Amino acid sequence: MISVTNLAIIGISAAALGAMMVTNPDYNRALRPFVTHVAAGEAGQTRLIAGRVTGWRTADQVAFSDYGTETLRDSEGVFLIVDLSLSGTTASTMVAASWIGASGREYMTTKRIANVPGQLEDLWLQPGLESKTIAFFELPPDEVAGGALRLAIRLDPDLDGTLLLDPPAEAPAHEDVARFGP
Amino acid sequence: MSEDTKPTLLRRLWLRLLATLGVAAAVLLGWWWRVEDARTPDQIPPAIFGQPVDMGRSMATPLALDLHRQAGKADQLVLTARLENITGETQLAYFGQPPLPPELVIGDADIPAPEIILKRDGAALQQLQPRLPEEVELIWTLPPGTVPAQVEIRFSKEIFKFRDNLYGQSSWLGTEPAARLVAAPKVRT
Repeated sequence: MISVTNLAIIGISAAALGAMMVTNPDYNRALRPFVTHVAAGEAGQTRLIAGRVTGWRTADQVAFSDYGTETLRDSEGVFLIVDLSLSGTTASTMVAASWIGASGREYMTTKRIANVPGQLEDLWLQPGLESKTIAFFELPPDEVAGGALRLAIRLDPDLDGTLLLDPPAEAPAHEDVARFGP
Repeated sequence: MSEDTKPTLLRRLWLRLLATLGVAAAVLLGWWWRVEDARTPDQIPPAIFGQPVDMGRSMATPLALDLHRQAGKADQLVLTARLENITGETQLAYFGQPPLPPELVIGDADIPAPEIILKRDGAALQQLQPRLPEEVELIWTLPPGTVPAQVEIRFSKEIFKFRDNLYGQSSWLGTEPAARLVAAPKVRT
């Protein structure tokens, strides 16, 4: 009788352990940012950042002044230019933006365009101060429609608030060359 | 008076049989591993111009190999290749982290890592976006006195592990040789 009880205890323990192993979320699922989805035209807020998309357009080429040197960049795909209005909530913070394309792939802001005044990479968000900023992405044209902009704090975004901002409802305008100057 | 605790003959035999079986299994396994090693010699597959090489996070397709020779300047070996990011996100570390770009081997010469520029406008390649293959030039500046009649370029592949042993997170861990390109560069002056 005792051996039957022992066997039952071992069996139940093994089953409980197996159930825990199967249902335990792995590292990739457990340590993710908390995403707040924001509909087109609306403003969203999370722990450290608040903001909305104010406009978007695409361009084949981007012309800008890089410390006085006129630079023209082209792409294998297109440049997506997103205008944003952002502010901090409780502390000064720097943000990183990425475009979640229609296929689900994540495109970080391009490093081919740098030192444009008001560019997101150089922006410090201050609590209560609204800043207008621009984010540049380089991506295949079919990733633009159906995508959304993800905005997270620059360092260690896991387990922190992240905004997923839908672009405006109207289709983006297209330019051959988008110019940005000082 | 103590009780006699001497094991029975059957128990002694059983233990020895188990130990013998363990040793025999270890010897057989070691022998089989050596047979397996001999059956699959670790040869690195050859890379061919126009054929993609899987480098882990990216696919590299070698297209041309040139030797740029100019008077008064160090010789430069230029490999033109198409690089494609095959992950789902923008890669800064398209050759892995730490970066392991294709390695040029000419005899025993100590050749530093190549400079990687976009063929389109000569800018340094900083990121590789998914689904946007880029034609790039990998430029090695050769030490004086190097005669690259026939060169070897070794490609490495970074290995993806879905669950690592520490946290169970997805990681790129370790590298393995992927391919070697042996070719004679075209001299351009």
